[in-house]
Amino acid sequence: MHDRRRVLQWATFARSWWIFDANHQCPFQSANRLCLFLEGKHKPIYHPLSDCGDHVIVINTKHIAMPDRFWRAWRHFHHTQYAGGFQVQRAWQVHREDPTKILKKQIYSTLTGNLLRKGLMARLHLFPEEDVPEGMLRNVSNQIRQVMPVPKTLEDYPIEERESFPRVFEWPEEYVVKDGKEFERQKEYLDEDLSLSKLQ
Amino acid sequence: MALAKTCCGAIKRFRLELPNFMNPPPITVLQGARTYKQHSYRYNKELYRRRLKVGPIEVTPRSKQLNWNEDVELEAFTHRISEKLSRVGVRQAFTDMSYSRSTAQLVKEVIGDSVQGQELDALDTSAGNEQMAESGDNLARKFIKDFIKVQFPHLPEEGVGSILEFLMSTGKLAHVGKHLGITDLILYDVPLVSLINEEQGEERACAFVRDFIITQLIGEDIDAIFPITSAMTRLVGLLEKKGQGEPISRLLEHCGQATAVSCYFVGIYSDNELIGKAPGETLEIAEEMAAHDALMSLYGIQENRLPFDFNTTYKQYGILNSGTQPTLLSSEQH
Amino acid sequence: MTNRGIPSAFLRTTLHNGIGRYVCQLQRLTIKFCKEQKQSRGVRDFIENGLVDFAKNNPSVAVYAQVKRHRSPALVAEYLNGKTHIIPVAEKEAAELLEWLDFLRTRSGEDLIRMRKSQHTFSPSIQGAWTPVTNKQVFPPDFTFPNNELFQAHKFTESATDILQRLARKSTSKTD
Repeated sequence: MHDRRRVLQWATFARSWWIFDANHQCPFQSANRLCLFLEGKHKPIYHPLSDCGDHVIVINTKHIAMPDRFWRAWRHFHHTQYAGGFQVQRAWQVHREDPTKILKKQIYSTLTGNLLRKGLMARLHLFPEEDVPEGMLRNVSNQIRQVMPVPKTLEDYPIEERESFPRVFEWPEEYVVKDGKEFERQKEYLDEDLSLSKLQ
Repeated sequence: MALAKTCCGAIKRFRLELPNFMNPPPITVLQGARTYKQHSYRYNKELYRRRLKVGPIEVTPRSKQLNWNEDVELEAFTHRISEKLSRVGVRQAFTDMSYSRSTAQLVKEVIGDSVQGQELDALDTSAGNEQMAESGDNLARKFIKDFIKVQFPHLPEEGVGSILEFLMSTGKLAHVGKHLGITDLILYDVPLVSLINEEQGEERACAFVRDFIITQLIGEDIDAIFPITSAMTRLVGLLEKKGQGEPISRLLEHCGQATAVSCYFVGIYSDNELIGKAPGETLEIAEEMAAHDALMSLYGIQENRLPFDFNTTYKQYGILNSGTQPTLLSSEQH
Repeated sequence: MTNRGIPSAFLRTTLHNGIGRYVCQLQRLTIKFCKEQKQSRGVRDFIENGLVDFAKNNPSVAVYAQVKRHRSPALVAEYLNGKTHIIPVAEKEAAELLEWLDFLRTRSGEDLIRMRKSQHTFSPSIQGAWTPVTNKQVFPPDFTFPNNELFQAHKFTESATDILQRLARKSTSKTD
């Protein structure tokens, strides 16, 4: 015989597990979104002292996307604790060493800088690829929507769709379309020339 | 069981108030509405400790104080509860057998032939108010039972009995009596309902019970009064009796099932329809609570049920008709 | 002194007063006065002229007039919840006394302290308290996470591709 009120309260404050695919997502916009779930601000029962935040699993952190200038210029600082050990690394260098670090640092920065932050970071689970421990994946009951649309490359479109895509204009017949195989064609022409010259 | 018997049974109540010579009794004075003085906190704390050490004091009834006129008080009481009752009757109702014989004799000797003395003579002490107590008790119980049956038509007998015992428990009745001012008036005990029944009729007596005793049910958790044990077994039996499909439990949602703080949401289905849903720390708890939830809905005691109907008179309910299940009658029928 | 250090309470009625029937919460009223001193002049005036009417109009209140020689006059009101309220009425006129009596008569008897909320309810939630399942998207039983098709970003603006496709569709439908 269990207390009805007890189970209802347990349910109201239950901690959910969310999963987020960071493939081709901006780390800054993602961090804004994910912090809401870590703090519990997506819940109507939110209070900063209620400890009502959820767990968030982030996959494909290796494949986050930033404009080129960010990869080159965005700086991360750390100190090795030795004299003169102040280190500066660009985003691409950080990402090369640890593919989860950029997003982790960004989320840490976005969270409010109070004593609760370390606890919330402990509920954040980052994985560079789609490989998540099975036990953790069993907990997941919901997914967070991506913040940026993932662009499709030409190869992602099936051939039929590519062929049937509405054309604004048609190339003239004699126009030579650049298809990336110029070098090979040049080689062919050269071979042809050579063979012709041989004939002569 | 007569009204407010325990109130008088415990004469020597433990009072935490300080004795009169140290501090005035707990009062609110209008001037300077903020009576909490922080500077005297330590002093008051020490006084409190010493008071506890001294031990409980004997509580004297209000009638022993100077400003007390029994006639006035009884009359005021009858007006307070909006009933027209005879003074003699009320005094008899409030007088217990144990008081009557010994004390009444003493009082008669003192007062002699005064009006009060004659009135005391008129008291039928031999009959006592025990009969009144019993008949009042029966009437109240009958009315409450029927009223509950009208409000919760699908609640089993067990549940009706639980609620009845809860409402007619000495604690609850004592609470009602205390807040109607009966503790000051009684010379032990109150079979008031019976008196109202005799003097004003059944309808007024039932209205009295409804207005003062049944209102104690407002805000109460029916779950606590009538705890449903072995919910699943009951549910199976109930659905079988009703001819509906057997209950099937399904996991609806889970939160962190591989963690120590897991939460499962289980739903109970009957004939492909959701009849109950509840959360739980484990699957078993969730299933049991879901069955419990289904039962509450079926019994009509769910948390978001309609509030009690205190306006309809008992006649419209067809209450106290022998044998029949009370239901809301139409205006033509009564 | 802040509100935190001072006593406060939630709204409350005695015996659910008003739901069944209304019961005047004033149980007993004692008017203490002196027969000689000038402080009790107004009280004496009231007792002579207005007290009987008051008692007649409020039969559920037991009214007592108690003489307290050479003491300041006061109104002592006892309520059904066991609480007592004393109002000193020295130097007050009979008319003012009547107003104070009205005040005492219509009170519930609860202490005059800060009410934490202006409302009280026994059923704060009709639809049930929020749980993570309330308004949650329902997934089929064989659903596995992550599922990228369902959780793509919302498209709030049309891309160039979308515009072209839309125009193409419009032109083809026109020709048709």
